[in-house]
Amino acid sequence: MDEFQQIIEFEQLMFKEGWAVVSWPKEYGGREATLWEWLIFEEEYFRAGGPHRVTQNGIFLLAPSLFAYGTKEQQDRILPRMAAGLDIWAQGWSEPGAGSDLAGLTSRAERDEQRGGWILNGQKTWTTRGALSTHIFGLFRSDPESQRHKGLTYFLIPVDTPGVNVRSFARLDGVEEFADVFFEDAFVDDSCVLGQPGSGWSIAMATTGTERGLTLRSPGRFLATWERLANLAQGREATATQRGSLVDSWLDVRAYQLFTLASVSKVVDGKEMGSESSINKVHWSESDVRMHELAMDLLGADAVIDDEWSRGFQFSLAGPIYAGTNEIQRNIVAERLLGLPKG
Amino acid sequence: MYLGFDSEQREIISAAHDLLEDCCTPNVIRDSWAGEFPTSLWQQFVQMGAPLALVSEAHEGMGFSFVETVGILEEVGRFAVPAPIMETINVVAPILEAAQEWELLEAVGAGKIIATANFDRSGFISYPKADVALVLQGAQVKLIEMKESSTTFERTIDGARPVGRTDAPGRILELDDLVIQRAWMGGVLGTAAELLGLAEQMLQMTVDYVKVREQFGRPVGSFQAVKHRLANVLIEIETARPLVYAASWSLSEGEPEAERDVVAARVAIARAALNAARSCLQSHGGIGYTTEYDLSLWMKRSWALNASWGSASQHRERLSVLLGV
Repeated sequence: MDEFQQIIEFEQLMFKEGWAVVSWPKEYGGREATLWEWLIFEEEYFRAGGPHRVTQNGIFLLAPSLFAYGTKEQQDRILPRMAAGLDIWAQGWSEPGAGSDLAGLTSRAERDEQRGGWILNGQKTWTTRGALSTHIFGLFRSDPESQRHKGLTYFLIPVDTPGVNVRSFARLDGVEEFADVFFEDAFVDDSCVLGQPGSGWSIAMATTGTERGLTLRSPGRFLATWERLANLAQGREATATQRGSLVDSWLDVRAYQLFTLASVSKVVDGKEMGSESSINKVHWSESDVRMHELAMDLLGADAVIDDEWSRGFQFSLAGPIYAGTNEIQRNIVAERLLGLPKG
Repeated sequence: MYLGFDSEQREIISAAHDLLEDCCTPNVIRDSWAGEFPTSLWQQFVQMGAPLALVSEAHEGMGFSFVETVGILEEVGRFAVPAPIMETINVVAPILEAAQEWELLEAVGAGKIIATANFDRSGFISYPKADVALVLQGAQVKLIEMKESSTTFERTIDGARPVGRTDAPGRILELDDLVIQRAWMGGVLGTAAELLGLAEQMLQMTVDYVKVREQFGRPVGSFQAVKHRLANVLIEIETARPLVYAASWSLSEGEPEAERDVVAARVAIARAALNAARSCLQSHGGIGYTTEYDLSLWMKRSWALNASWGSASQHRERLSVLLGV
């Protein structure tokens, strides 16, 4: 909890100095940075040892959808507080019965015409930082006759709404930040709907030329990890095999950095970053696991200690799972990029 | 900060692609297995001015950089061209220009003589039926008149790319160390570019095959194991690709990290190409294992090239030194 508070304070300081949301419009606290400039900022941020941002789900996942589909009222109400770290947003995507198969979600929203809003019932799970967030965004089935990705509505929900209950539980890396979020007849008014009722799926799936469409994780993060790994190797008298793995990891990180540059070049040329983002996701997540496996190996007996590297290792194992499992990503690569038939 | 080809470069590469698609069919490669040099292809290549791609316009060259030639050589790899195009473009012509060997340069450019090169100190010369070969001797470049020397031909994994040894003395060319280093890097980068094209073509052939080959009532490409395997090949190719292109830029610009970038590209593409060959063979099943089926031509070329201009682990060792790791 302490660490979370520290990071919030740091992020609030970043906002004051105009660094919280560099690519946003100036009216919302941004610097209107281009994609190139955003990449440079991220590289320097991680090089300087900047912490994992607790505002990231809001800033990188929700904000692009708000810019694309939100009303002016919603943008004015939500974005400045998000950028300032006053509201912390969690992504309420997965449900106990809907992980990879998000369209199988069953949480529902019942129209309450009289009060001008919706009554939410259901449950979201594995909600990162759910217990520490002030707001949550997620999809609810608003058309009871609907199936799969049809008839879903995108909601923006304050966590202190009556009927919303959060239960936190621990992640593998010991961080107590996962949460179940229960909705029991929780009423939200129409201003909590993003876009049109029933259009939730397409809003959630839309990727744009912003950093969200480009990549969830900027190369700067992994460059910084590799530097720390190289220092660790130096301090531990690495074997030839370990040094070989360190070189391979450098290649992974450098490839990712250049792949991102090539992708930005395409986006800047007006081309869409489509399913190539699946290549990107598999690559960074598995590269990160390999780097951390090497770290554990370099630590030798010290790998038994619960510290930055062992926690980082355990967290790296989440990478191939979140933001679409790597199995799903490989299916996308095979089906949409190679054109292979669905099963 | 732009990583990609511009429209002019894309046109050049496209022209190379179209030419090779036309005149480097699998039959041409099989003819090379039977000992025939692809003369008609070579003439077309000469007519395009390609041998002197890197030579300055002042000396009748095209004035291209490694950026253009990396794109051209990717196509050469894609079509598994059985001729010393890479060696000529990236190594021989720039060396002859730097050594001011104008007669030889003109002859190479006009297709009057065919040249090859190998700087990996293995003693092997690819396409030894060429007229001249450039090799390293100590820290210097030696030019060998191949027709005047006795060549021992080796039986190789890729019969379309003949390999031999010669004991001819040759003559040393007057060259700056930097020029030699650049040519060595050009050969390593050119090999990487060819491997990139080879890997892409093997994957394409395989994707086409598994879409139509049916077993158990469905295309084998619809099975997740096959899909994931081929997805992995694409991921490795697409993450090696920017390393190859970035290296072509650093080498062209004479950047301080040029060697690091070229060596990195070579190591990355080695892994991608080996996996491509293996996974593509596996996805084909039994038919991939026959030499009647064209995949074998590409696989064998990829293995032969992977052993040339330095092995992947030699380059990895070098990269380790350059990274200070």
